[in-house]
Amino acid sequence: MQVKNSDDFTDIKVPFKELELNINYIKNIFAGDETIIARYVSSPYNAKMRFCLVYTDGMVNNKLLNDDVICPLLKYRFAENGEEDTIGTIASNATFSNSAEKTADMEEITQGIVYGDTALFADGCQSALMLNTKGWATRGITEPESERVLRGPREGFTESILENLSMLRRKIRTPDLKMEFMTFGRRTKTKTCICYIKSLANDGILNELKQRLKKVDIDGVLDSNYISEIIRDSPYVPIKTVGSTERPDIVAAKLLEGRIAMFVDGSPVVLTVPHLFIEHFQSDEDYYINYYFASIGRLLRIMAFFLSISLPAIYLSLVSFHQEMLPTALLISISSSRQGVPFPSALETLLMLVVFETLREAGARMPGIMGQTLSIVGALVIGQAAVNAKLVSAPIIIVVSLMAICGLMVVRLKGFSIICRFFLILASCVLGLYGYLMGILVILVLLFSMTSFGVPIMPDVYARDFQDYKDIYIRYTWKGMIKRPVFLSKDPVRQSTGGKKNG
Amino acid sequence: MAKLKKILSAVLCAAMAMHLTGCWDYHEIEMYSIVSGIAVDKGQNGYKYHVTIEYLNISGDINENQNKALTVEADGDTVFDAERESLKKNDKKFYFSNCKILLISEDIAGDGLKQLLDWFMRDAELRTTIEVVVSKEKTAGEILHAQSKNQDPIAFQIKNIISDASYFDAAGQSLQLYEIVDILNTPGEEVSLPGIRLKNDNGVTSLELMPNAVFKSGRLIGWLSDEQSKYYMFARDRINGGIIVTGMSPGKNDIALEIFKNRTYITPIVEGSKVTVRLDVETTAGYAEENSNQNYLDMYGIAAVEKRADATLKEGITDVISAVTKQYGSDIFGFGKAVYDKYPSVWEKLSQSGGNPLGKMNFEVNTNVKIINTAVTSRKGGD
Repeated sequence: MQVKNSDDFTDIKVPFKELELNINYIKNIFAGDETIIARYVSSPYNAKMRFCLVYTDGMVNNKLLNDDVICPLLKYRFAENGEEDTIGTIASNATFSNSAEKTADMEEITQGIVYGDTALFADGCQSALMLNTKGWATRGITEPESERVLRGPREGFTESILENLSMLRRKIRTPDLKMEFMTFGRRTKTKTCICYIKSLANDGILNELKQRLKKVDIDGVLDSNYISEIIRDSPYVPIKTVGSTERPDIVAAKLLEGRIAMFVDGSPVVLTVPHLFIEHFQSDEDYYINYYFASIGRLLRIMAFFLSISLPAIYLSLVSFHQEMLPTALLISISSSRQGVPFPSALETLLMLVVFETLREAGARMPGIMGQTLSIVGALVIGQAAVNAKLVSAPIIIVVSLMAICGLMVVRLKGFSIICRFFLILASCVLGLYGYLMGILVILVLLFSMTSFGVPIMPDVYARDFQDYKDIYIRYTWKGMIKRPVFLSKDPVRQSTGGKKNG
Repeated sequence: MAKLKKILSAVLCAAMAMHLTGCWDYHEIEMYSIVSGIAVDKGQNGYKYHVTIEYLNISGDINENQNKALTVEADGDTVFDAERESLKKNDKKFYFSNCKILLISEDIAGDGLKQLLDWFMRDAELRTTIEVVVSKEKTAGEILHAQSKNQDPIAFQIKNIISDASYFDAAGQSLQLYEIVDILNTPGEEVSLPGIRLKNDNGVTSLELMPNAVFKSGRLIGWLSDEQSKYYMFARDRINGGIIVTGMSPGKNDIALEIFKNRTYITPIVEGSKVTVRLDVETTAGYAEENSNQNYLDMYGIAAVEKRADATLKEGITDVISAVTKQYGSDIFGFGKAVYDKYPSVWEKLSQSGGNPLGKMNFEVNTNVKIINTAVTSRKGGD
């Protein structure tokens, strides 16, 4: 029989009754892949009963396979004249495996084999039994490097989707938590799972998400970003409209606000939608510590973002357009440190920004053991020597360092702030503070016009009263946050004491 | 096509809006000489003005004292002309936003302030908060040239002396350009500016703030004494702090009261053809020094000291008003304006009938000093 030269076996059934022919057929499909093992077994009590186990080496748990599949199979006494439904009998009587499914679908069989299941073929049967023998090495549960907290749970997602789902399930123990599986990637066949709490999730958003997921047609999904880039709103704007996190507690909290999460197998990063702009500034720790400190921290983060995009532009406007706005002492000190510097302020600022971005990128890409070299060269060469050699002036180093520290406070907005920063500097180069203000206007208009799955990403667009602001710029006490954020959930009331009065 | 038109007109609007925003230009900060002060004198060689500009000599060396100042001089028919002329002698353009002081010589002040101040008010870079001071030296320029004991630019020193004096010395006055121009354009009010001179003590030069100069119609006509300056400030309601020196008997000045707060209410009263200006001086003070072996507070009580201070103040204020009326006839107190604000028609008559309007007014000075603390922590030694 002709084997299709493709990985698509939809609607193809197990072709033969004879064991050898079937095994040859399978081997043909996987020709060139030597990790596929076919193990022949025959019952010691009945020589007619011959079987073959097909699995992928390294993907199965050997002990499980030996003890729960082969052992009971060899010990079972089959009927003398052969069974009527051999596969059915094995499934019900001759295996200890918790998952044994009879199937004739070749798509299912090939998928199972490459995903760590074992396919059991029996002579005379035009179907196979799929046994769950999955077992491979995974990373342990550790705290995610990029989202550390001082106080709060220390577990983070791993690359295994089932483990990840179990972590979420342990936090939300309700039958209301729904998990729907989907497969993406024509070749990678990556499993994904949409999670939501049925009575909280906004149906409109859920339907919209499903609609968009239906349109995904990609041959490989190696990380959740492959999907988020395809399904997001405003795909060409550098602001995330699909959230992502590696922490189960964050996902649980977002589900409880009515958001929808999406797990992708092989990636510890879980997506959440809708994603508002303010979520870049929220940290899960905000909810675990005192709300005064949490609010101060959040305001600081917002201020830091603002400074990190504005500082170089404002500095540039002041020293090259609006010197009259500088106090005399500062003007003198900047002027004296600029004496003898060869480049104009604008070029100097741009150069230092590029140097900073280079240092940052180098720090992120290089192997850890070379870190010391980078910090010494970066601090000494850029900081001291460049100023002493009069290549750049001292104030610009201070401005760029301050900007860098502020930028590191809101790492999640890294890409967006780099673009904003350069945009604002260019605007300031041309028109000074006037250009800066126009640039800020452009950014604000952009932010306020964007939506994430139909929800405006700036809550100020629809926020009506203080209740709507209790978890935006500040984090109000839990006792007072009686309602969920509007639009996200169909059930707005978080605490029973906060319901609207009837009538 | 319609869409292109729309876009083009939007771009055009934006482009035009940019030109409505006033001055904007990219220029590097180090390409300027930062001016700290300007002195204006009578010109030489037939020119009207001789301008001395003090600017900061900014070196790139961080360890060096950066605030050393240099001067450059030039002549011109107008102040701006002279300023541009001076650029021939300097390698960088002057930057006036940080100019703190305008020093004018007595003869220039005698010619009138209005024509002189025009450029300072009109120019975009100069601030209207610049302090104007009259030089008591022969020329204003030599003050900026002085090698003072302090290395700071002279203009910054003068600025600091004036702003300190206006808070800690009752006679000290800070009058900024916009206030002067305001007064020059107000009927019934005349300018009075602080003076400055150089003082040479054993070869060390320092600056000294002098009592106020009296102007009439914008021209300098004379000077007040130190004492007069102080009571003038009371009459003008410009006291921010300072000392009232008084004594328990006339002529004996051994008690110092520190002024915490002073408010002078000027009320014009018109009865028939008689115009009376009433001054109510409300002063809150502290008993700051008792330069005596005796304990006056025990001997006389606070009320008596307050009474003596009232008398001293009243005498001083009355004296300065009558002296200025007689000697200069210039309304540096702004009484005319007070009358004008309340009774414009009366002021019309006063000012039009010729002569000195101040001389046609009567004055009534009421003083009320309140001592709110005595600052004594223990009894005087020897009691």
